[in-house]
Amino acid sequence: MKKILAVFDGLKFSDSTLQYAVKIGIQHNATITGVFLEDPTYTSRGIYQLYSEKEYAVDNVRELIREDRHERDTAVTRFENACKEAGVDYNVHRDREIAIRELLKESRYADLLLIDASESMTRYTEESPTHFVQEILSGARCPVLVLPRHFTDIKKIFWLYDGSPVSIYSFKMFNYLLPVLNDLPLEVISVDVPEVALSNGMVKELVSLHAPQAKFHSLKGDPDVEIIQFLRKQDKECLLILGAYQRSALSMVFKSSMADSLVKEHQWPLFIAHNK
Amino acid sequence: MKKILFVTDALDLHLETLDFAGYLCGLTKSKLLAIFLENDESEMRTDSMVRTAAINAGLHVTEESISLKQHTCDTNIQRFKTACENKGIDCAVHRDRGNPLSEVIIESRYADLLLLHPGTTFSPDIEETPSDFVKDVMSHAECPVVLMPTSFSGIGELVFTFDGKASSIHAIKQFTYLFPQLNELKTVVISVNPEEVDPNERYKFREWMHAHYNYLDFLSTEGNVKVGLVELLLGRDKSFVVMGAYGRNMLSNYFSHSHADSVIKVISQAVFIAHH
Repeated sequence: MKKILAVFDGLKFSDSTLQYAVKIGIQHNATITGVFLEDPTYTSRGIYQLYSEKEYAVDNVRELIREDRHERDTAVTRFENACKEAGVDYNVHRDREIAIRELLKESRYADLLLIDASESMTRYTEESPTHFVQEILSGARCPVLVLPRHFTDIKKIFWLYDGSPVSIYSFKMFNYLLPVLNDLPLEVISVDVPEVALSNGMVKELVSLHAPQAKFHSLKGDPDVEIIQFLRKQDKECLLILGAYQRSALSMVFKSSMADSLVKEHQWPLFIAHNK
Repeated sequence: MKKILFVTDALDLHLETLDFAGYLCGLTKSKLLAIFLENDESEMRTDSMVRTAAINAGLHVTEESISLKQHTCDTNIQRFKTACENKGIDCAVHRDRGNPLSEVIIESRYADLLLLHPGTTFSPDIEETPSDFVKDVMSHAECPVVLMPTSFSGIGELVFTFDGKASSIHAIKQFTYLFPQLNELKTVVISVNPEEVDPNERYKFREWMHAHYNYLDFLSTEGNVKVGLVELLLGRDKSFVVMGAYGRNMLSNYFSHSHADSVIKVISQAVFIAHH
């Protein structure tokens, strides 16, 4: 892997994204492209703040714009300094267009995209997964690593295998892209469904070739409940691999996806890939 | 990459393709898993075809055709194992008796790469290359597919086709992740009418390519896509062609055109396809 996109909001800089990006950059000898999305429709102040003092309104607006610009510049400098210090190659892309579209285009020419789970690109705090993160997960053209708020060193990998082709695709992509993390202990978690049982032999063969020491956990019950309960009992220092984020409009109304529940937990880095 | 499938018709084994397969296994330190498709449920081929297959496998034909088919399959598996042993390839064999296409799709889900002889067919009729079976595998497989050359004398260069569409960059990425060992080879990117791709995207694509490959060359031609591409592809020697761009139709066109031109040139090239 050579090219990592790390997505930053200059007005709410995520230390966690920076730390993970630098760490993975060093481990895999990759170039980090810091993407600073500077959507002109997004400022740190609400419209009522701008109109608070009518007489000086224009000056006031200018002052606020200047402050925002300064903060965005500081964020870029912080990123550059951190990369220089670690000796990692880096680029800075400052995109001034509508945030989401630019980013998805950029992902086509990248190997991995890093984003903080709480990134919203608005001045409001949204419940995670935010709309912004949801859109990235469903539209990105490369695998995405969704990051927790605080950095922890990764010591163990869990693969959430639900029998679907896309969860296998995710596992394969993880193996190709992050060969260093590949040497960490791997545990496969599945909640027994008939299809899993059907092709268990082939899964074990694939896993045993990639990670001979892997452990398998078969849980019983409702996946949404059981997996999270199981994971809460584990150490925090792990990464989860899971399949896509494809949801039909219908399932969005009735049921949130597994990825949503895990993003909400905000505990572990999530490696998510989809092939559509 | 750890797990490569060698898909073959159990009656029609092309041992000459094993040079290429063995090379890839050695290069990537993968295990070669042969899938022998026996097609017991819906055998359409005539007794005389089975008899021809038996003779090709080196059997004396004296038996009834049903037991003769079994016997031929067993013999071919034995021939395969012996050949692998002689070449020092780490191999295993799966025998799949059901519908060839659905068996292959499921196997491909649990594999990193699938190798196939472009003439593989289970139909009693004579077909063009690639056969309908091969086309179906190419468009439904859940891992990238490589059409093997029948004679192999090393890989001298990589040839990527690029048309700016998501599927072409997807194929290039998949190839790059599976064969990180090949990045020192001479690499040629060919496109027809490159001006049609947005300059900004072309820049990003080149940036990504330069990060992954060290000896890059960009070739292009103007005009009709079909004619242009065939022109650029034919006459290259010892190349490994990555077809993501221009789709499946292009591939058949490439084959049929080259049949007219020179059969030998085409079968000396390996073609990599990853559908999206």
